[in-house]
Amino acid sequence: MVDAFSSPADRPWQGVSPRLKTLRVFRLAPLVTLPWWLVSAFAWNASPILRIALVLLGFIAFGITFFLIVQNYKSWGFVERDEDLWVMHGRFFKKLVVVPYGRMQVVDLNAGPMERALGIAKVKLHTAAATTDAVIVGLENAEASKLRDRMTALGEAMAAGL
Amino acid sequence: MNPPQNYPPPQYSPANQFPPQNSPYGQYPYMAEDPDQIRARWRLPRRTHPLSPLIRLAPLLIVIFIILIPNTNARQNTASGSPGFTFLSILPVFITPLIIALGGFITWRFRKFWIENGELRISTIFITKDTKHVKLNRIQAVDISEPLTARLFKLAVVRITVAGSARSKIVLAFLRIDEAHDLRTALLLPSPGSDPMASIIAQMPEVPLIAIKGSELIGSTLCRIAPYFALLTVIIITIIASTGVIQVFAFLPFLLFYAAVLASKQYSMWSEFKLGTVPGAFRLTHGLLTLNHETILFNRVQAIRVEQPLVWRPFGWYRVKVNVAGLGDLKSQNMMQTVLFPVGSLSQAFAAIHALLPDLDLARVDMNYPPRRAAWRAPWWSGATCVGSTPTAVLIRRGRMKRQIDIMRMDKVQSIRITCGPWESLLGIGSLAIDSTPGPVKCIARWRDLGEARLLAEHITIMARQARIQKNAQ
Repeated sequence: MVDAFSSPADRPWQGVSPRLKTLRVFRLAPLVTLPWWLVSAFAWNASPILRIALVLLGFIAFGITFFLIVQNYKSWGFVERDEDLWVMHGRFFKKLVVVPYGRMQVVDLNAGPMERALGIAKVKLHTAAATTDAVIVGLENAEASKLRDRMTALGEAMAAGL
Repeated sequence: MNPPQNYPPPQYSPANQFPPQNSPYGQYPYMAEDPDQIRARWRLPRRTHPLSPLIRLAPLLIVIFIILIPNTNARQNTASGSPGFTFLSILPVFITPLIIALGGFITWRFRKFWIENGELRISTIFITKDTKHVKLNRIQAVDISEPLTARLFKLAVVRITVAGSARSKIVLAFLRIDEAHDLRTALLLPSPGSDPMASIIAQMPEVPLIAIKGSELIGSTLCRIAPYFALLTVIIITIIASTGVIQVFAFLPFLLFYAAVLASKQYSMWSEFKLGTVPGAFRLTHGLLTLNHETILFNRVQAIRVEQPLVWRPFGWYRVKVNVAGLGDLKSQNMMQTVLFPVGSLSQAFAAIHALLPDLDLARVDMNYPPRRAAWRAPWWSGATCVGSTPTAVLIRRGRMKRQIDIMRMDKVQSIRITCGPWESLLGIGSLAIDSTPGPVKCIARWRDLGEARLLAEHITIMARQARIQKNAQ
């Protein structure tokens, strides 16, 4: 039985920067914990047990989120082969994309303010198909720009036309 | 949707016997005329046809007369004290078209176009000078259409699609029909860097492939509407039976009118439909009021779909759609170009596919069905979905009610995706999607065994690469 999401022959999946976890924690932690804590803080009339339970709920939510973030971080992988790029991500909703270099039209590199502070960036590959959706998130800056340059060069060298 | 008995159809000659060898025009063996002469005809700046501003105004004038005539009568008949029909009251009715006519006249008078230095130049010199230069080798398509009003005067509109600007088409309205065709030839003459096929195609007489009978078109259009009417009737009867409100019939005229508008629109767009091939392209001619000539280059066709709505099944009608590269946004004008033919028999559909992909023998493709456990995910549909691949294409057949077969050209595969949700993951199944440019055809083989999907994905990756290399080598 072939594992559908295993890396292509003899090349291991290349992971992304662990700082992706930090980014996601900073982004998601306030969203999942603060509502519980705020309710707990302002519910003066509620019993202390309920208020403590709410605080704990916040921690549990954070725990679950952190677990999911780690899982998602581990699931990211990409492999540059001679003629195409393989990108895989997702643990519960899995997705594997194969993009031939000859089909790449634009390679986007972008980083928001938080990503810049952490020194990571997102590389997105566009083909003539709108559905391609090949993104690698959380690449170290240097690696991301090198990847972008390699992709662009290979894309030009192998351009297949429509 | 098994291939018909007479499949594959006999060879359509043009692709094989082309280009003719002994032509007087050396590097342009397909030309019927010296290319320099054709170019020379368009070297001098010229205007569009003098009737252009009037023709553009015609629809508006008709509307105005329709409004004005009954109204003036009404006012004259009310012989009461009010002044009624005065000069002032109808002034705007005359001034608006006058202003528009003046605008049209200025556009016509001061806008000139010509071909120079491998460019189509359009200059408008009125108060300011505005010159547009379009490199001929950037021109992707030149379509000619003949709107009703222009057709009365034997005039046509030339629409020029330029690479890189999907949104803006250059429109030259109006030219004499023969001039329009001549301009098309001149624009598509081979120039350094242009697509040589485009000029060949502009020159070649087409070989008819499909002509649609009026009865088929009317029948198929009515069939599309019939189920909705049946449903509507049931709803109305239910309402009347349960509440006794007869007034719901009041909606009927509106609905009938709406349906008639839809049907007649379909009919007028697709009647007189003819599909022909020239080497390397389909040529479509259709339209009752506005006559359209379209050219779809084989090279730009990415994927094909043959489909059959349930109501068409008893009649054996099919429709063929295509994904065409570079159409950009799929708005009304472009939507037509995604329909290769609106209704036809299966053998006609297969003939069209055969013209496009002569290597593809649809009768000899092994189709694989999803594993039985896929029924846990999609009990009704999974048994009707199957996928097969050949060196030229990937085929996906699906649907129980509306049946369709999607054919993705191997050399046009953009990217390949395998996706799988949690429930599918437990069952060990997933979807394999082969991405194509935006269009009506979406190639997704769903509920495949994951291992098989992976092997197929790797197989398609290799085959697609080979197909691309072959294509580039040609």
